[in-house]
Amino acid sequence: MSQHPEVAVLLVSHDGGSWLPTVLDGLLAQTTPLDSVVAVDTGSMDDSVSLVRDGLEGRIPTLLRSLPGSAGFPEAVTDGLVALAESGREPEWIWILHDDSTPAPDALTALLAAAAARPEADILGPKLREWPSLRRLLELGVTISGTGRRETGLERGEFDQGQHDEVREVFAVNSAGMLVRRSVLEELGGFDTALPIFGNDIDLGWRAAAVGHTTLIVPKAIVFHAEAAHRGVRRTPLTGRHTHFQERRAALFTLLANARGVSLPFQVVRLALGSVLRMIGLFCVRAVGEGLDEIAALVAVLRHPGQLLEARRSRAAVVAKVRGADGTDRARVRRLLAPWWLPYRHGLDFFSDLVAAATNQASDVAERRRLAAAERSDTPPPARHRDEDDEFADTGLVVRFFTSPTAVGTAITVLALLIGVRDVVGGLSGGALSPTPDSVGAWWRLHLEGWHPIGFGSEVPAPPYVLPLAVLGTLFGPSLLISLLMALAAPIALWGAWRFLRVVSRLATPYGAPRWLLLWGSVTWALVPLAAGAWGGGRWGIVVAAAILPWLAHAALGFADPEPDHRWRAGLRTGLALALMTAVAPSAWLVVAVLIGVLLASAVRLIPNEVRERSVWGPPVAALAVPLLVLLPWWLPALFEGAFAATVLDIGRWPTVATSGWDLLAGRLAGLGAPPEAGLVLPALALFALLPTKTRIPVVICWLVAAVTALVAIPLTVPSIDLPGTAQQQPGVGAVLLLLHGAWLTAAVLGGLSLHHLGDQPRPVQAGLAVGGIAAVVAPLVALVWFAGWGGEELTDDPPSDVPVYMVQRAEEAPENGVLVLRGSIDDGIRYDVHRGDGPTVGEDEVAALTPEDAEITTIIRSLVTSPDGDALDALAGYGILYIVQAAPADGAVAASLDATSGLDQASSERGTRAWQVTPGPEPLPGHPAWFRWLLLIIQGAAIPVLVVLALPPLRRSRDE
Amino acid sequence: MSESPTPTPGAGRRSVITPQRRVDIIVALAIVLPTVVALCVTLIGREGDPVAGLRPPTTSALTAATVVCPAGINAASGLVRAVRAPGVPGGKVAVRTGVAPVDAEGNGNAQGATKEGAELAIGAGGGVVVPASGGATVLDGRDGAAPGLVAGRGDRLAVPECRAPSYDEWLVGINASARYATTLELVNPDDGDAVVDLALIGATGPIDEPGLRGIQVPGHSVKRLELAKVAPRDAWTAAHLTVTRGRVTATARNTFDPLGRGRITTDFLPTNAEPATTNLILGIPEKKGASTLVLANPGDDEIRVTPRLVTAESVFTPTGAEEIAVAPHSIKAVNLTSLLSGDAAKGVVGLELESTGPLTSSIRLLSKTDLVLLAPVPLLRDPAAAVLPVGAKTLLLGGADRTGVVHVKSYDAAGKVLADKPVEVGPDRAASLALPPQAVTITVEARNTSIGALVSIPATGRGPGLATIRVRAAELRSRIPVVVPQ
Repeated sequence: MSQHPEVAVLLVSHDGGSWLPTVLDGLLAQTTPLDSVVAVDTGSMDDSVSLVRDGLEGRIPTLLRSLPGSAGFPEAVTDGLVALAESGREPEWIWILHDDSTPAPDALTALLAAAAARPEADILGPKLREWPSLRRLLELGVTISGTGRRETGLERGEFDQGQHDEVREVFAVNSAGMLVRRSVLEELGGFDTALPIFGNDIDLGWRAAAVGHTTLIVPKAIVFHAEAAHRGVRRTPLTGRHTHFQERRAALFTLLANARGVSLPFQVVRLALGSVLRMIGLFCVRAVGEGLDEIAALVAVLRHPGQLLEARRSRAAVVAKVRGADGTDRARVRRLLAPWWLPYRHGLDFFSDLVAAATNQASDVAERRRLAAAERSDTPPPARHRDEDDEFADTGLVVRFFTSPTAVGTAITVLALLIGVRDVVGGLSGGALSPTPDSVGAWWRLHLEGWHPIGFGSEVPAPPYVLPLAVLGTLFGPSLLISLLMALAAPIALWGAWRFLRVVSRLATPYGAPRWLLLWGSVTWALVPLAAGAWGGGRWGIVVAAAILPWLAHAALGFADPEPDHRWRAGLRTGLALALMTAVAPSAWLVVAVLIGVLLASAVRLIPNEVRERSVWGPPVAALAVPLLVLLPWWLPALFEGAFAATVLDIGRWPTVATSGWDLLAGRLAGLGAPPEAGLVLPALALFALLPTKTRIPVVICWLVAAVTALVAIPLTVPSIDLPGTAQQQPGVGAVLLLLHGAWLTAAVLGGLSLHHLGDQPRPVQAGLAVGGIAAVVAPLVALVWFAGWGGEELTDDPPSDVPVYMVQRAEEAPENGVLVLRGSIDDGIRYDVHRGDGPTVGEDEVAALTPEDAEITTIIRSLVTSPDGDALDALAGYGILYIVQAAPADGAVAASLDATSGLDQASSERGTRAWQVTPGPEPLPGHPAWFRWLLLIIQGAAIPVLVVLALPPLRRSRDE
Repeated sequence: MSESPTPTPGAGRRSVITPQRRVDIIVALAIVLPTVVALCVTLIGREGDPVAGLRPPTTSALTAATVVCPAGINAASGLVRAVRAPGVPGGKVAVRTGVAPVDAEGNGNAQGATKEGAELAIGAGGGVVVPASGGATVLDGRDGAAPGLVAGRGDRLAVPECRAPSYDEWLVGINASARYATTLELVNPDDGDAVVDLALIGATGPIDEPGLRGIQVPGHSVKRLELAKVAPRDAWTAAHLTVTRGRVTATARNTFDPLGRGRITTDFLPTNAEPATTNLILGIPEKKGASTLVLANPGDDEIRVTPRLVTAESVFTPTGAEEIAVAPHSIKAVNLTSLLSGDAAKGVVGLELESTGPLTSSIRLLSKTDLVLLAPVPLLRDPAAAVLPVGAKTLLLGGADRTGVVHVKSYDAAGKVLADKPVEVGPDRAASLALPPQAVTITVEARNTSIGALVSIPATGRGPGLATIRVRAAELRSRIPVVVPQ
């Protein structure tokens, strides 16, 4: 045994009482005899010291050292070396062990064997496996990425199957189980005392690599490590409560202390930005504490530049001493550091995980309910409809596509939809859809400002959809965005309906729905807003709401989840979807509120005990509260500004023709859409769906939804709302139409679930089913063909404006260059409006239409058109009017009155139109501070990300899970 | 969410169905809920038109009134007489007069700036004669002097209409040839310039005539346009006159020159205020020569017109009268001679045109070799007044929309009431009333109906012929439009 070099074990302990007995057993069981043990304790409060003393004394020569609790791991190691020197021992190797790391019996043997085989090796590390599972790999050497992440190159929880068993050079090894030449450790100055607990091993590895030492990983040597400090199991005065803070601080310090001097400023900037990004990312996964730790760590490192510089100086000194003129061994360091792209790859992985989790989290409500039910009963879970994917699993993608009627059907539908929306190319407007503003800045301004230069100025808040449009418009530009929304709404609705119907049918029956039924249902749904004429009528809010509704319903299914956590998240997700839907179809909130009220009330009657639980009634109520919070900057000011009608009106340009009950039944907006007969098929099918007894309960629930919606529709649709000015507008029917037809469609699909073993049915029933089936196929086909062929024809561009082009250009220059447009005649009444900026665009219509009439302005204009009045003109200029235009056909009496007004100069205009310029022109409009608006915007701006984060599925699990 | 109650026991116990069997709640809901939906659907009715319709103006006291009389037909024409509508206090009005015609033809030189004259106090009754008013005359009343200002010229064969400036009107049946020549007189009563556009349509469609676009009329001046010089064209046309800037009163006079084979005769062409689907032309004399009806269709669709004859007894379509088709954006001249001759035409005083679309019209005829031009009469709702020449004359009333009474008062030059007669009128018939020869002004007040009125003034002796004057509403109140934001 004398051939083996002298090895001293350096065991550092701190409150390690729970692991130490095993660790000591592991030490004593080593197949290579140990020459000596230096046990350094850093102020343990438990029986660590006595455990070590009792365990080792008399078996191995042991030096016991005690340090105060404030001493870190580096101090402990240095103290151990001092103790060895004091005792006159000069072992060649030091084997460092933590009190929570226990070596396998042959660990040291393997390490020494590797050291003998590779004499150039100065630091060797064992394979670290998890304690207590003993199987999962923790580390096989580590390196550090450009962002300071500790890179092990392993998947999380990878089992050790020998897949990494080769001796290779690594950047650094964990200090637990590290075998290091004493001379090297002394030469490098030990571990850096600036890194008391975490990250000092990587720093040591970096410094060793920099001076040209080789670090090897020896997989044959196995050490089991509990990572007590990392997991926060052990708290010391040095780790504090914020493990993450300490780890990040160590990482940043390591990077900055060892980075090349040239790149240091760049590194500082990069790490600062990276820390902010990581903080946002951590906030996104509800790890608020860790997010704050990120920033705190950055501040902690950068606050002491002297400490950093000192660390850099000492490293430079070591390099100079060891390598002289050669300088740092850059080639080695660069080779062993993590590649530059690794952080970006992690970011991408994280993002895709996030998206996958967010989209999948509700899809398995049915599954979880079934599992929960299965746990309570003994019957085995029933089989589902066989997926065609399974049948064709081994064939190519193309073959699978063309042999699947569902895939082909979906593709044809999407193709037909895209043919129907061909007009979106090159911008879209007409009907209730105004032109889009030239730049997205207009939407942001509209959303942010409390006073809009619209008409004669308005404090009516911007419609709620302006914020999402502004956010998305920043990416795509306003015109393209509206085109995309109109073009993609139907395919998204189809997708959402597919997912919703699939889960609903699984909730209703154990087998779920066959694919052809899902295809029929989702295609029919995608066609509901198109056949209704919402597309052709420019009622884009309804088109978009139809795309949101199935996702909302899908989220709302989460209310039935067996897990309270899932239910709460479902509530928030439903709330956010409802907020979005309310933004584009404001009456949706009212309808859904009544629906939830009725469903909760019936639930109280049917299952009183369960409903009393807060996690059962809470989520639906939260879903209703979320839109109120998120849309606060819209409805609250609207209440004060006399524009509360906006909360029940459909969005877009008013007035629109009122829709009758029969139109609603057929799913048509008045005067628009496909032949209404085809629309009556859906309610008829929903009626027939009540017949099969097996699915009657869910179908009745659908009808309950339809009945409640229809009841709410009466107060919503019967009275007209007087808009300021000449028009009246029927409140929103969009949400009503969508919910009615959504409920009927779901009922029809659920009824369709009973369609099997048709051969056993009596003849008349078979005939009836055949007729119903044909109608069900023909109705969406009619709508699809109609839409592809003629759906876009109704959306015609607006007639050219009455305002001459040069005035439009002046108006775009400044908000005060308004153009007052007068229409009508003395006999028929004079109507006025103001053209400002680029004219009425998406988002401004509602503001303009809901702004209450200013009696003073009406008086001014009346006096202007009846008798020449210079004072009236001054007042108009004060309101930012540069031109007055009398649209064709111009009433000569009015024109003559304006002709005779001093201060109005004739301006050129087209034949039939009259125009004047106000001289002197208007002054710039005064500013309107809007502190209250800003307060509301801050609340909204904080609420949305917080709610989104809370609604996301849990992504970040700690390493123990 | 819910569990259906246990269904009633099945077969085997059918005989013992108990009367207290519970109704399955799911079945009940399956019946009730669709019924609720159906009820709601029927309750939601289609709403009315979301856009409010016309909003008639309110009125207030008239504070400014301008009445413009065109120059007389020649140097022999009478002066302008100004009067007040009944029941209006009156006051002083400003007067501006233009150059009077100097020869018997009355052509060419009656234009140029108008000059300011002395203010005139005008009251009700017989009115006052405006001095030196042989040329174009502008009366301008402000505040209290504005309401009810009426003026006229006492000529015998051709009486021009004195009226307020207008902005948009139609002249149907103008020509610019040697036989028929139209002269346009444009009077600008204001300080600033005015601009007038004339758009012509002919038998084959719109006619582009750049010379008639953007006609400038300087402030306070009269401009005469002889169409035969400005835009010579031997064709009947209709002109759409629009004032694109300022205010102008336009008057057209047509001169018929048989080129040596008879008498040269001139008449004023009354305007059509706007195209209408019912046009009532009054004033067709008992004895007449060749008569031509000119119809102008300004619309985009073909119009079919049914002419109906108006007599004191009835309004009827004579047998054999055919519908007249007028192509879009074009005019059509129809010879009325056969329609207006024969027994059926006995007692005819007017022509009513019912059309499928709005049109404008006029009639051109010769009465005792005198040219007579007629156009639809405006319908009166408010008290109206007219200034008339001395001599025999008849008031024709027609176009009443229901049975009513029209009060007609005649005044002599001294303001004395010569006659005060109620005339009963009714729909689908005309009425006539002989006016005292000495009457120089009349007032017409319809009760319970609207009415169209025209005074027919036959001239006998040397230079026989016929003059007509439409009775126009005097402006009493200004209309204040309803102003609303759009």
